[in-house]
Amino acid sequence: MRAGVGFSELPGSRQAGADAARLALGQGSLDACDLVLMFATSKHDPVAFREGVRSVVGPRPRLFGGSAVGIITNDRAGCDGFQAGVAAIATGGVQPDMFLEGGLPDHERAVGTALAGQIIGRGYDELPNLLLLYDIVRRREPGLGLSMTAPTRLIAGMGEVLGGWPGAVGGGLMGDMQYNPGYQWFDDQIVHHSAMALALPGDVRMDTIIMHGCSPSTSYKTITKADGNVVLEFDGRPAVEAVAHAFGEDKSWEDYPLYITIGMNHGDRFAPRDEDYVVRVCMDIDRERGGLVMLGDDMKAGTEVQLMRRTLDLDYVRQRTDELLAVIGDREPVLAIHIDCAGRASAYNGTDFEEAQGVQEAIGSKMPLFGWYVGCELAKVGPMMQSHNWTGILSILSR
Amino acid sequence: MTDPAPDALQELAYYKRQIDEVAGQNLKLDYAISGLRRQVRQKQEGFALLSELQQSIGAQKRISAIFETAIDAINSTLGMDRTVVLMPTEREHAYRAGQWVGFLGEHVEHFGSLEFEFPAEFASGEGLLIVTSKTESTPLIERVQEAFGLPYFICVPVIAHDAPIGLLLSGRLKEAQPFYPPLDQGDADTFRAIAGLISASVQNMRISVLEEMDRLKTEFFANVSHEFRTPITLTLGPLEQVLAGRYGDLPGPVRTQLEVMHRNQQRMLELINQILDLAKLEAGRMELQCAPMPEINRFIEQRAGQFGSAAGLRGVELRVVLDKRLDGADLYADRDKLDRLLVNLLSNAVKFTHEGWIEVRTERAGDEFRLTVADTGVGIAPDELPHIFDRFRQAAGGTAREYSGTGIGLALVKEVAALHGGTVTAHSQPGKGSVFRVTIPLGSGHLNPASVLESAAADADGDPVTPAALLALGESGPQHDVTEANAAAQASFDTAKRTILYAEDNADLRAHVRDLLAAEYNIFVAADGKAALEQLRSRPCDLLVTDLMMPRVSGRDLVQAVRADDALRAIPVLVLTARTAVGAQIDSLDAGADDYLAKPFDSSEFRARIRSLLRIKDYQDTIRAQASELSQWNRTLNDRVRQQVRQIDGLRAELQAQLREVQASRARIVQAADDARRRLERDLHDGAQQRLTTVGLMLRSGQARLGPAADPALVHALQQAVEELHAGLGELRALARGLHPAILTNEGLIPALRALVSRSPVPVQLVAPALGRLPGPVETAAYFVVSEALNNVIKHADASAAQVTLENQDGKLVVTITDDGAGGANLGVGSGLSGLADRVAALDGRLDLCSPARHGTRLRAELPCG
Repeated sequence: MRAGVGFSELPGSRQAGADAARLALGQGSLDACDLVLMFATSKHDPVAFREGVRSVVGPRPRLFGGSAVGIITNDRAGCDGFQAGVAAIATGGVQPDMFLEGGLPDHERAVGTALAGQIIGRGYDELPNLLLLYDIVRRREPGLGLSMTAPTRLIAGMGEVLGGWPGAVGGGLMGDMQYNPGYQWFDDQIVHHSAMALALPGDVRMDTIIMHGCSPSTSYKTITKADGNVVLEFDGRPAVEAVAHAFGEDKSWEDYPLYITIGMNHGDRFAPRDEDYVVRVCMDIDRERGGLVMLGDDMKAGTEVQLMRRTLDLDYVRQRTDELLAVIGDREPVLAIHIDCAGRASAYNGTDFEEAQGVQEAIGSKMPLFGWYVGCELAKVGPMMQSHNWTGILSILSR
Repeated sequence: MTDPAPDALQELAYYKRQIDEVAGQNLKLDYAISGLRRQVRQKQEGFALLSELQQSIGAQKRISAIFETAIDAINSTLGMDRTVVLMPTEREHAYRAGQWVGFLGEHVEHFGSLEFEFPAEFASGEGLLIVTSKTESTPLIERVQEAFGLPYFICVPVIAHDAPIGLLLSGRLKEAQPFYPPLDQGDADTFRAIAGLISASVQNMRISVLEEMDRLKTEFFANVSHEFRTPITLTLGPLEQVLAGRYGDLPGPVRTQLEVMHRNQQRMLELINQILDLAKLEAGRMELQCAPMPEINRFIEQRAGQFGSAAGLRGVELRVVLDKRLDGADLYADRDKLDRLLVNLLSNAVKFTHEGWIEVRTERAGDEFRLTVADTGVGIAPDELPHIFDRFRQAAGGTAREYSGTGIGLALVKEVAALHGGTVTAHSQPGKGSVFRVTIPLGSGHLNPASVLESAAADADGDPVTPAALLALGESGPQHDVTEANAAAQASFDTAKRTILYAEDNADLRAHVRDLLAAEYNIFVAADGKAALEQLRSRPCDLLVTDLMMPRVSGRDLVQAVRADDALRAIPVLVLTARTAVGAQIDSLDAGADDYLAKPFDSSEFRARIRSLLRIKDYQDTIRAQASELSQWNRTLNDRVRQQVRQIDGLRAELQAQLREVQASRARIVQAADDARRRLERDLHDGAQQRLTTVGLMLRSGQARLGPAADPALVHALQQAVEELHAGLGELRALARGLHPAILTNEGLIPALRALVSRSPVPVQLVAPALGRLPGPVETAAYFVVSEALNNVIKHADASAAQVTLENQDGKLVVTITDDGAGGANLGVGSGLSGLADRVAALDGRLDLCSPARHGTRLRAELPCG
């Protein structure tokens, strides 16, 4: 099994698809491939982009991918422009399976159940590693335009059917930070509002790490009231008041969205490690009820949480990547997959460094690196699949 | 496990609070840092963009290409979603989308039809519009938002050459912290800088285009001037042959004309030489051929000597002081260029010096050659001095051109000195004089070897005399001809001819025009606008012909002064000038000139225009005279009309007095009649009625005394007499009431009317407020109006009902009687109502009758109570 990745910023969508695919085959020294992972920003035309990819890889390979805010490869990273990326994979005997389930906005949990049902229905001896992608943008509604509860309900539905989670990573797809409608490529279909899974059975191993961009900042607080994805109270106080107490009364509520983050520790409460944290970002304010509107609805009453602070650190990213590489050991790395929160890109985060650079430096030329910026990241914490925000997921496929 | 000690719990709570405090501070710091980072990034992006734009738009040659490059870069670099250039339309302050980026096809279809009107001050350069979610909306903001689908945007004007060349409008579809923070002053600064850069690029572009045009123009001048030299040479040569007597003696007038031609051909040659010099200067092609000039003193003495006579004509002394140490000195110079340098300095000195002296001095100062030209001329103003070596600069420039010249002479001097490795300096005091000093190093080491010739150039002894000396004097020298010409015109003054004044600073042209017009007109001349104005005020003139560019007072100012002077404003003015631009023509006409003729002019046309202007003046004079006569007639008529109006007014007053008298008489008559009626009624009551009542009583008493045996015939007769008497008494009472009811005098109008209507056989409704007692004549009139009206109702109207209404309206008693009868009543004589009109009129009241046939009658009387 071999892979190569290609990056393009050509404004023409067909040219960009062809350019990225050509570079991907070139980097992997591949004459042909069986599977193509493909992502592009919303500035690209989905049909033209697919045709461009097809014009290089031919009609046979399976296509799997969708919209992304930006693309990361071994030596390139960029977002919010005409970025497009292709990973061409010659599976070498591994027979990848792809599953698709539509209708996500109306049936978030049911879509998860059905998708998992398809996977189970394939009758694997052992659940294969999964790459999950879903459309996070809701086209129909005004307001934020994001599926606020899709990530948690989708994985809850899947978890219910799967029983236990295999190696799995994923992300909520969007093509730009304006939440313009995005697309998903599933072979030659162009779909949206769908969840899809790529299963890599056989001896392919998926090792994954979580790289946080936030650290716990306060003492533990207990959510005493919540309604769906709206956290209403901490320790009996209205949530916005509790935040104001910590953050400062001089900040207005308009300052909270996309800045305030809350962490849930799924490990030892007092252990000096943050790998077990799940970080969620406040997306909006429920003014009437003084609540924080979160991306995900699993912060129930009784959950202990901490306010987090941003601590994106290049050394930390390098160190975590090195730790993952150490886990691979002598296995043959095939492809590093980096599913990164768009907010961590320097264009939005305001840092004077590109966080992806830490991953690029650590990966070097050891293997192809293919990453894309998403609106929500999916990775396991312990045995359970979790939806993350402001987090980078790095996964290495190896044999 | 045992519970922790209370102290430990307290300590734990304390640390928890501390942690949260620190956490809060950290969050605040993080937030602040995030904001600062954003600002830094904003600036970095701005600088990067400006740097990129500086490179990319600098090379553009079209404004549209500059804007296109800029908006592409703005959208891709500053994180904007849509950017538009709003271009000015033909309507002031209105703009239309000219270029855009970030839109889908369907969005832009209607852009061409949309106009946006921005306040005038917005495009002043300081205009700025930042629209965020917190901006208060205006109709303009709403229109922009709707038209471009941009909820949040910035708009700044791009100004070039003090006028807006476009508005840069750029914005975002989303505003969300921290990814899409609201647009702020930092963004505005960036946009302003971009606007400034575009503005500078556009201006630079225009400058480079102008420079290119200038270069082409200079080249053209050079080529054309060069071509001019051949025909001028071929004119000058034969002229000089003729003047030299090669073809025999010339008659005096012919010689004079040929000399004018020769002089002006020389001037033209000089001007062309100057243009060629200018072209060489512009092109940087002026090259030297420097040869040793050991005889520099002689060269300078000779050239200076050629100006001696010109200076002498003005009474100015020309001194030449030569340093003998320069004889045989190792001076290398280009003889021709040095000649031009010297000629320019000397001609300036002659031109600007009207008294005193001019000194040309040579000196050897160490290893340098110095040439100084000093004068006691008009001097140069301190603020002009730093610029006098600039090309085209003429000190004290303006429309009133004191001295002729192209303004390149001193620039040429500086250039020639510099080419020789030398310098030129100028010192001057207004009113006292100027000193120009040229310094050139001796030797040839400082010169470009390629320009150095080791053999001395030919001596200039045989060179033709430069015309510059004469030309220097030509236009600004003493104006002897003016005095002579005017004296001659005065001497031959013919009252049958029209008189023309010609203002012109060129003596040859004065002479030429004089020759053209002298046969037909009395022609006087003036050398400048000021002298012309003085002459006009002292001598009647039918027409003014004037040049525009003249010393002291320009032609334009002269025309304005004439038009502002009541005594002169009727004089027609013909402007005759070398300024052929349409703008100059319009300017002259604006100033008040009647006609315009460009030099060179055709003499027939010139004369025709003069005739035309004089004819127009004649018409105008005639019209003016007729207007004056008409005006006089008008005044007379007005006086007569006023007189008649006064008479009519007197008659009217008399009539009104008579009318008032008639009115008073009528009132008196009515009053007298009423009095008489009242008296008659009283007499009837007191006399006849009472006597007849007594008679009745007596008759009844007689009846009573008659017994049953009384003669039945007598009884019957007595009974008949009693009944007749009662009937007579009834009629007498009615007559008395008709004359004047006593109740009216005793109890007033309302009771009298009540009594009246109560006796009416036709039901009458009386509607009357409590009026109190009114003046007697009013009550009487009102009573009789009602009485007579009801009488008509009863006798003629065949009405079933009537209504009497009394109202007090603004001091007037208004009495209205209506009925539902046959109508058709009138106020004519014999109508029964006719007498009422006089009664009402006697009180200054008003009586109206409305009585359409079959629709009842309405009689209304207004009776003033005052």
